[in-house]
Amino acid sequence: MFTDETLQADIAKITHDVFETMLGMSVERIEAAQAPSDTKMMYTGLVTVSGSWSGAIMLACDAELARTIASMMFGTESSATTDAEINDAMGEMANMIGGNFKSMIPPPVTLSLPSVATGIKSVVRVPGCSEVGRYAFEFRAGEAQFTVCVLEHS
Amino acid sequence: MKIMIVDDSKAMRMIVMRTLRQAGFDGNTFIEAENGAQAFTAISADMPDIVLCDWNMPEMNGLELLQKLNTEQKKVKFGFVTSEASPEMREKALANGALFLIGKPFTAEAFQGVLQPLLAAK
Repeated sequence: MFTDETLQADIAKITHDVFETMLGMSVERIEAAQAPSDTKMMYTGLVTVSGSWSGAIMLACDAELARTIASMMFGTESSATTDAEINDAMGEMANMIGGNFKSMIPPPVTLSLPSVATGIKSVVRVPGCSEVGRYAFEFRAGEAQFTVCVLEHS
Repeated sequence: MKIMIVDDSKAMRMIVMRTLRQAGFDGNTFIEAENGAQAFTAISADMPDIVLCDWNMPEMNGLELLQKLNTEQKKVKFGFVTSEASPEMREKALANGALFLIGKPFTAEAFQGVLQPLLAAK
């Protein structure tokens, strides 16, 4: 359904629009992502898509950026942001990226409610799915990075 | 006027309310609900002027809420604010009586465009 080129372009546009419009955060697609940290707490927001195309969309970043995202969504100071607010924000960001991705898939197709995983050295897997795209983005000229991954059910 | 925002994400409810204020609707009363079931109870007790509702929520989703309002003949202006803005979803929303569907991500202008005429017609 997607070629590498169209998938990359679609995810880049959706991600840019979601961050820019909802948070006022200008993010840029970059070619190579930093290796996942072995020491930092990571947050992964995830939604699954089921129907004419089935898979999952994941948004992953470290705790510092997740806290920044949450503080911008809630309009609070970053230091005052709670874990519940960070989980809520990461789930909703994944939901918006996944929802817009879903809109490009012919019906019938449904979107799950979002879930969020956290951990150090964490690896999030969706049974039956394999990664078909991993796209890195940076915020504030390299100050922070995050990835959006597309997994397809095989 | 009372504007009800229904979304299971508190973060999104905050953004919708902030965007409504930016769009010039800061003089109105905002009421929040976390899902369709909670919204139905609140609407039954105190009818808002308009409902801005997410689609995909636990317990009772937005479409189920709209259908329940129709079944119970509770007439309220109703629109969706959702990340799922495909032509099929728009068609389904309008077929069930929704007045509009605003896709996420959204702008203040998107709310102005649909809400100003609706609230002016009250």
